[in-house]
Amino acid sequence: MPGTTLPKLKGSTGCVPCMAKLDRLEWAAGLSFVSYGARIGIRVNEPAVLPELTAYLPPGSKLSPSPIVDDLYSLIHGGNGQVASVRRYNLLYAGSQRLARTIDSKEVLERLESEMHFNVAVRARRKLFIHAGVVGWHGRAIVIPGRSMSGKTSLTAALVRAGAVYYSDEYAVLDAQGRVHPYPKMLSLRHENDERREKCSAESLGGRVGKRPLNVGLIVVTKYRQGARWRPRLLSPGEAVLALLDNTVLARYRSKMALDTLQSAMTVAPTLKSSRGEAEEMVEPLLSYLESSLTSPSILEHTIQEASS
Amino acid sequence: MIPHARSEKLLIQKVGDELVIYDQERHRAHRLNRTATTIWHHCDGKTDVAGITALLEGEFPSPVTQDVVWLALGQLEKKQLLSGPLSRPGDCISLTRRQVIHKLGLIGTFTLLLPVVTSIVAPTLASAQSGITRFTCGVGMGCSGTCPGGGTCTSLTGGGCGCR
Repeated sequence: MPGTTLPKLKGSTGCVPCMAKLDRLEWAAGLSFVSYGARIGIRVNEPAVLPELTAYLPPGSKLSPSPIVDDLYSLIHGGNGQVASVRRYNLLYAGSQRLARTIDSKEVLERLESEMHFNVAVRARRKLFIHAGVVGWHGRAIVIPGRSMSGKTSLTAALVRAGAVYYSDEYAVLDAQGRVHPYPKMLSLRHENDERREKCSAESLGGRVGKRPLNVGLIVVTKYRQGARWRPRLLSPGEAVLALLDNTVLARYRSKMALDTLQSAMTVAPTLKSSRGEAEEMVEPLLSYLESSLTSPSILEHTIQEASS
Repeated sequence: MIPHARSEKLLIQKVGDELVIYDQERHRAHRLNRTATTIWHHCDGKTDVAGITALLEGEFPSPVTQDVVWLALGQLEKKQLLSGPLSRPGDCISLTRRQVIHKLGLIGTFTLLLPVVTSIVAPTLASAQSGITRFTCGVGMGCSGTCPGGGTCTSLTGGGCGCR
């Protein structure tokens, strides 16, 4: 049950100098959970924050009865001080390291959420996490690899609005067979003119969330550029592996697993590369391309061979 | 000159007609197109450049000269995928891709048959995420703990240990 037992860092004896100061604070509640094999704990000084926190947990999180965790986050909720005009800071720590200090409680929760997603991607043992937006269409996955600010969320959202099934706007989660599993966190759409983000569910965009793993049907290597035209070039399978590896979280540390998984994932999937303009303009060409490649696999095989040579 | 492909600390994956090679020493990934892959396979430490050229002539529809092989070897050497430095004969001038195209009079799709090696640097943990993520490591042991995925446990500015 969340809140009843405080999580404890694995290997911590309770007298570690760098953690001691934090440990001495009064922690009122906490929770431990497991997501894709990552064991994460959060403790808070204010029990009322805990229900709000559960909305920020990574997809597939299961509350764990064991308090022992690999990574421990400590959240000090500022709230209002004794004097009405004074506001206390919200503080977030990962282990003993301070991550955030802000009076905006939403900001600190978003930072915590981002950290937890990345933590899951790094700790996951049997899955490969690639920075990518993913949607399902006709039983195949469209994977849009890209780092932050490449426009993958806006393209993912446009595809979901057009009827594609939502899988993720952050990570393509691949198993050893190269199938993509859902990681359906809330979409994080940026405002046009600033850095603020708005969270929305796939349902609020008129879409639905995928449940079962899919084989990869199409990989789209693209980046938003104002006024750019979509002039795709078909990448060879080798170029496609390189493009995915460039966005693989643990490419450097689990390179063998990454290469094996990527090869399985995209042996028969075409990969298109081009700059793009507005996301809405991309929907029709991408969905049509995937449909035609599914109905004419021999033509697709031929074009991939051409790209290889 | 007998070129020899490097084999230590490389992960080699065949992808279609191409090769993707991961250099575990330098954390770089290379993609060899079909021609570069064929030449790489012939760099066995026994076959010289003339021999490789002769072997290629039977495998490709376009004209293959020693210039094409030297072009590939130059790229492989630059990416440190050969076991030692190349020693070019005195009369052998290192040609660029454009010069080879011009010299052989290649046009259209035949230019695609020239050897190409493209590379990326594998992302670090820090670059794989916008912002900085601190993974606790080395609790109670100095900064000598284990990091997820094989990252390095180091001391952080402001105290504590984290994975990089």
